[in-house]
Amino acid sequence: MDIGMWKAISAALAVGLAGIGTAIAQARIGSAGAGAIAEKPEVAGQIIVLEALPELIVILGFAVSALIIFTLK
Amino acid sequence: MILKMSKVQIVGPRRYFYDTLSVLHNEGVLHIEDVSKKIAPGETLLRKMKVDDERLEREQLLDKLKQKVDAILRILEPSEISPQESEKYYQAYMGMSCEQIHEEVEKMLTEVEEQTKELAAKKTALETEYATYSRYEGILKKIGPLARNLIALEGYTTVALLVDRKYKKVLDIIREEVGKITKNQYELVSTDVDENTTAALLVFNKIFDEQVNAFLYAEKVNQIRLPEELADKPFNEAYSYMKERIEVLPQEIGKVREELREVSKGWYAKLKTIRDVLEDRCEELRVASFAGETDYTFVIEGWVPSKYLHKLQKELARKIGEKVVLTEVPVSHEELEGAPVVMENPRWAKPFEEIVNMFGTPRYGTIDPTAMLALFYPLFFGFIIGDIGYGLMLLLICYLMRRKWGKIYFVRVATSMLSLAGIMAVFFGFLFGEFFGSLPEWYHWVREVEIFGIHLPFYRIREHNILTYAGIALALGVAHLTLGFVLGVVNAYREKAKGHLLEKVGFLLLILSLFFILGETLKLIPGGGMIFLLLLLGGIALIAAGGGVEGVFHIPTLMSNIFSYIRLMALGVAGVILADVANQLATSFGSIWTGITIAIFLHLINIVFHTFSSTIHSLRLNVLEFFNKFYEPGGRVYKPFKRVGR
Repeated sequence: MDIGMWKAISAALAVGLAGIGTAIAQARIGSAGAGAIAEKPEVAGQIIVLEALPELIVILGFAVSALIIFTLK
Repeated sequence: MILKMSKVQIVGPRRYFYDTLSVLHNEGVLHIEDVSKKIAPGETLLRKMKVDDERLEREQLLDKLKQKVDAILRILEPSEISPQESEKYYQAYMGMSCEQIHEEVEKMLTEVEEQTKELAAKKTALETEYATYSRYEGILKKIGPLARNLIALEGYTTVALLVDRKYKKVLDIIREEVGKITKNQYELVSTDVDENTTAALLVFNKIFDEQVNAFLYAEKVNQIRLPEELADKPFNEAYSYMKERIEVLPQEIGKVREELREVSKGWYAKLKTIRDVLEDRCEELRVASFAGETDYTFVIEGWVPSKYLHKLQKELARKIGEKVVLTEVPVSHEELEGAPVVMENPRWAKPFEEIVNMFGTPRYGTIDPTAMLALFYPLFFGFIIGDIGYGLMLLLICYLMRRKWGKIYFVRVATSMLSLAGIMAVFFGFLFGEFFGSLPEWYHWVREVEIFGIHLPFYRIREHNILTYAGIALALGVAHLTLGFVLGVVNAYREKAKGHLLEKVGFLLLILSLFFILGETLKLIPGGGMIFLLLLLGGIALIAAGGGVEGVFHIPTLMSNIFSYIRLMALGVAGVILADVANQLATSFGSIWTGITIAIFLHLINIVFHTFSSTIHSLRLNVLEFFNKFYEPGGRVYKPFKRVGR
């Protein structure tokens, strides 16, 4: 396989695996958050921010994959 | 900014108490404290203000009247009230005695009731009818096709049944049993109406009503009962009637509401103002119990923003005279911490107070982060979106929403915030040379220039720029966090919290140490490594001294906080790539119009999602990474004693 293919596979793995991790975390926060909002609607703002917390994982994954694609020679 | 507050005590002869209360109510700046909470057990001189029975009775009467007015206002259709008209009525009713108001309101209510009774009853009846038939609409749609197959027969009863498809066999049992009861004088037709339900219509001789109904009830078959007034009609007739009514009722209701609005015009403003007057009068009597009294004097305590103190003193002196004295009371540091909080921010930052309040009112004496949020949220948003086209679209959407729903508070707040963000998106769009993605670069619409050694536009997804873009995002993060720690130091100093002060300074030293290690690595600061080590050790020592073991455990979070800002770059790059994908897809179609349609559709989707995610992430960086360094919620909300009618 040429280097381009390896770059593509690495980038896909970086963002893909991170995406799965984020999805698992967000699913749990989402279901707990929906319950919390049903009981106390005024916490909706905080829940939205909490829901965004695990996105750091996929964002870092995306940043790494972007760096792999754009900067690796 | 949090306004400076003064604690005040108002003392005067008891006979001036209610006049004083009225002046304070009118001025609307005093947050009244309950004096009785401060009266020590066994205290004989000062006691809780006793509201006499006559006044209590009056309060109850006014409260009852308020409820009556509320009930009438709910019936009437709201109409516009001019501020001048409202002020005129307010002053007139406020000057009346309790008995006069009572008389006036009763007279008015009788007249209003006379004029609106018929229309209001008609409106309620039509709305009830509509609600009832609407509830049947879904079921009737399912049963309708069956009903058309039946012939309406005099002396026969039609019963509609809904059965779960899983238990469809129950229909055979019904057939068998009803056959026995009615001696086979019945008809049952059924059909599957959706994937879960089977509908059935059962027609039988009226004389077997009782037995068949008893059987269906005992077997717990889901029977649809028609509204009472249609119970005697055959099912297909009832169905057509209801369908017809559902179509006409909205127009009939609209017509009655219009008539009611016409009648309401003359009354609505008066009744609305009278309601405010009653509310204000009740409030005055309720607040009276917060005051204290001695044998001859009254005492009121509360907080007032210092800038209004002088005005309040002057107003009291002008309206009551020198006998009632308002003095500023010296307060201890602990007492000051419990002062209510008034946030005062410039107009452009005001909408962001809503976001701050979502995380709790800041404590008195600490820093109000609203203005900083109003600065950094649009900055981060613009840095992520960075597209002239998207920014302009966002501004257009805000303008249209403002025009259409400008009266709704939430819309005003959201559009004010998004407009600032849109302006920054346009600004960064110029820096990044983006207009609906990389179109300017593709079609050479712009000429590259060099300003102070910087090449502009800065195409952020070019290979050699992407690392710089990530570096700028991280640098923004370091600057933002440094500011957060500096504000944390200020807060700790103001609150005389030595531990917090040492901890925040320690973190600042750690951030400073990063510059030296970076300088050493890039060979810009010779000997930077040694300074880095000294600052690192000094920082850790201060953090341990100020925050203990817990503080030391927080050190790694500093790095994760800094790296969190890389999301600015990641989201920005993702946005441009999606915009470019939209453009590429659009150009791959043969027809120009198909291409344009596809491009508009995809860009709209990108704008919506990108705006949402950029807002969430920009707010998150502010609320989690930045606020955590200094923000201290838990402040008391300022609730001034003021008239609702003003």
